[in-house]
Amino acid sequence: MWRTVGHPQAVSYLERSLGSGRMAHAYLLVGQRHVGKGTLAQDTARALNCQGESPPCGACSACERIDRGTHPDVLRVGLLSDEKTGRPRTEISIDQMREVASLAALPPYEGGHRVFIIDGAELLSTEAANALLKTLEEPSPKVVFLLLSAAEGILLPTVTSRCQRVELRPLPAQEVAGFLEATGMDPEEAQLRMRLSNGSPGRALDQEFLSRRGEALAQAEAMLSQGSWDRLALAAERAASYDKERDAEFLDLWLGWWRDLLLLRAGCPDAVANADHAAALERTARALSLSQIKGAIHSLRAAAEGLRHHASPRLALEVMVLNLPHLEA
Amino acid sequence: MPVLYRKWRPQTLADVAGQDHVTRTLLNALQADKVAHAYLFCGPRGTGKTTTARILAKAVNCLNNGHGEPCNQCEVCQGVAEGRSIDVVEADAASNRGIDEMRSLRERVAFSPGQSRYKVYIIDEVHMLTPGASNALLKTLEEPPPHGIFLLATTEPHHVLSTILSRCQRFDFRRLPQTDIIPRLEQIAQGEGVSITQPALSAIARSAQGSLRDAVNLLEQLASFFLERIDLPQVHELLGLRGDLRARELVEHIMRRDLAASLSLVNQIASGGADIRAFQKEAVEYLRGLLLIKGGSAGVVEVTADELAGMQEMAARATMEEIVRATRLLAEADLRWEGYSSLPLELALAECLATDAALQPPTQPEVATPQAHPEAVKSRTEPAARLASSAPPPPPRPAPRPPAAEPHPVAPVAQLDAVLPQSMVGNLTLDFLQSHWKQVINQFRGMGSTGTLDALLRQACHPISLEGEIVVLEFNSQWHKEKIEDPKYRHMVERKLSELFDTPCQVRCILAERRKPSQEPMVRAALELGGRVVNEENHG
Repeated sequence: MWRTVGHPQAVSYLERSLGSGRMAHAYLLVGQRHVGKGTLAQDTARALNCQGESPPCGACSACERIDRGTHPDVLRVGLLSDEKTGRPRTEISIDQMREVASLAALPPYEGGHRVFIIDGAELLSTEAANALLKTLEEPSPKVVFLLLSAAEGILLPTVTSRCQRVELRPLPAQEVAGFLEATGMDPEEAQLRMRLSNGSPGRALDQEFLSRRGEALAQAEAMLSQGSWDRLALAAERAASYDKERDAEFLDLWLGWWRDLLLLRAGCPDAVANADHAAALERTARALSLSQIKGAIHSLRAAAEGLRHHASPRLALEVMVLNLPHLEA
Repeated sequence: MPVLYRKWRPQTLADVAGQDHVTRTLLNALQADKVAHAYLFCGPRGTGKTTTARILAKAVNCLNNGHGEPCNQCEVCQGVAEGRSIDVVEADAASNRGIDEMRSLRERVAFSPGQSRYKVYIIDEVHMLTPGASNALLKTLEEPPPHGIFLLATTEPHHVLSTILSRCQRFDFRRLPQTDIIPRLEQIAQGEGVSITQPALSAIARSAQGSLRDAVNLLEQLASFFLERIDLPQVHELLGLRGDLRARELVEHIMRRDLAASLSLVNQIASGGADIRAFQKEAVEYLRGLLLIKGGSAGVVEVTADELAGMQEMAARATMEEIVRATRLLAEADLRWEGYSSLPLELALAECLATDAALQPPTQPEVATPQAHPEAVKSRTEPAARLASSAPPPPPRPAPRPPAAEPHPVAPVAQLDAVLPQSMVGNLTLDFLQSHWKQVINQFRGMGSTGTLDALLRQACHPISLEGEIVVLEFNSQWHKEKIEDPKYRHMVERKLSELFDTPCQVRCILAERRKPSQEPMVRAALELGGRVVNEENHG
């Protein structure tokens, strides 16, 4: 049974490839975060190694061990954490890829397929990606690479051209809501999470997400009436405990909030994502001019872009908060 | 079962598609027995570099021929094809990139080949070698033993040391034109028992952008997904193009300047799970069609007659400027980085369609432009009123000017010089001075002791009022004001102005009053944090 939510095209493509013996040796699964790349990769790994009747059965010993992460032929490669600081590294190193290449030369232990799941192919360092090229083009038989990436644009073209590209687009909103309700969620909450998920079922399921969002939105709203000192203090605080992923999400939430203001100001209230804050949003939108809102979105995007390209977090955030418009309380 | 691009890897030079300039040269060299000892193959992905290197390795060692194409039958050819020949070594420079690997390779070259004529080293991804390793290779690459041949391959020749480049015969592999990709795809499809239509083939070839491997990969996906029969709609489906009417609908909303409707359409598309990037592409393509029609070349727009009529009607309703602006803003919305967020597109729409004035009266006054501070506005109107009562009425105003201060911002100066002086004669009004100040300044080029009077004036001052024949210039800094007040320069300026406007002119210089602190958020923040304004420059 395939556990992937949605993506009927991608699933049936992989299923048919398996069934007709046309399985390629390398797939690139692209799609935004939490859209289901990991689940689909896991499903594919199980299907390739399943001993049951209709792969992936989910019940046989191979499937179970893959779920637990103890199957010797299924290897997940991702960011390691630094030995000294304990923080995750920023790149997947060439040593990891050398290890993958040498393992890929061996036949699978259990006679199924050796599957390498490279989670975050965009995180491969230039050296690591190049070191993978030869293996990725012509691995030994019974070796399958599954590269997952949320940022296809920065992958080496030499890597993408060696893989079969499978795109996982955002799920239609109704599918996300249906899936959430099927898990037994309260319909109202399901609707809200659907609006916020942007088509990613994984994000919609994240339990902590709503509270993180509440915090971010409260800060976004408070910032409007704050003076420069308070704004700089917030920037400094976030920069001190900067975490690439967490702060990217934070900026994303702020962008969502400003996007809602833009939509309200432009007279398009149906599409507002933070629907539970509609009243407050409406009030704020009325107090701002459209060019102020556009300006704010531009500065948020500039900051997000800078942080993606390793700008100094403190500088990027300071410039951003100072550029946001002022409202008298 | 290997993927198609491996299964159908060409085995003879004649099979290598689209690189005739390379394969022919190599065949001639083989026939004349003049194979060089070091080759560098470079070119974009999927154009046949590694393939050609392997064929060459077989060709020089082939037992049956040896002076042309490999036979692919003999012991040696098959050994190379299966990767078990001891004399043809394929090294991956990207994972073995250090100096030690190169040293051991160098040592092994010295030994004679075991069963073939030549020892061939194929070094792939050679751009990833460390500088140390590259240098260690240099001596061997220049003068290998008579039985040694090096074939280097890379996608990035600019990362290869120039000392390596100069020791190799370099062959540049080109992106394949569609005319070369299509027959090869046809051949593969036939061999695999897949039937595919011509339009589908050309759509695949177009999207592969010159890489045969990418094209074959697409074909493979289509074959696995749709099995035996492939037509254009299937290719479009795989590439995420829909070809429906919603792009047209969006353009219609844009032309009607209906922001709310266009935003809600974009949202419907995004939440319906469609590919927002493909949608953007289609909308831009549609706008491009309008642009072409408006520009008078409806013939090149590739749509059906019905659609063309609809587009022509829409183009007739819009102005060229509107179409250009919409096309530019929509095409510039960069959707690559933010996953599948529709925000960049929404922002572009807001940019394109909305001004606050167009929506509702703004609740906050717009930020004033620096030039329009209150004093200037006052002095602009007052003297004019005085003028009307005392002096003879000013010459009739020129016909209403286009809103832009400079009608041809990019026109070369020489052209302005040629056009303007005549139109200035008798035109000494404040309005004219202010709207044409740059052109007036341009007339000062070449004056002054260093010939740069125009540069001094351009940065330093602008006319703020006209009192009879006295032009009042407002300066931003004391230094510049004193410089121009110096009689030497003042006379120069007055003479030139009199000459230009054909009426006596005088100049009075005043210093600009300290302006209100700028509304620029950064400046405001700096002031709030204890900053002080020391100098103001207007960049704009």
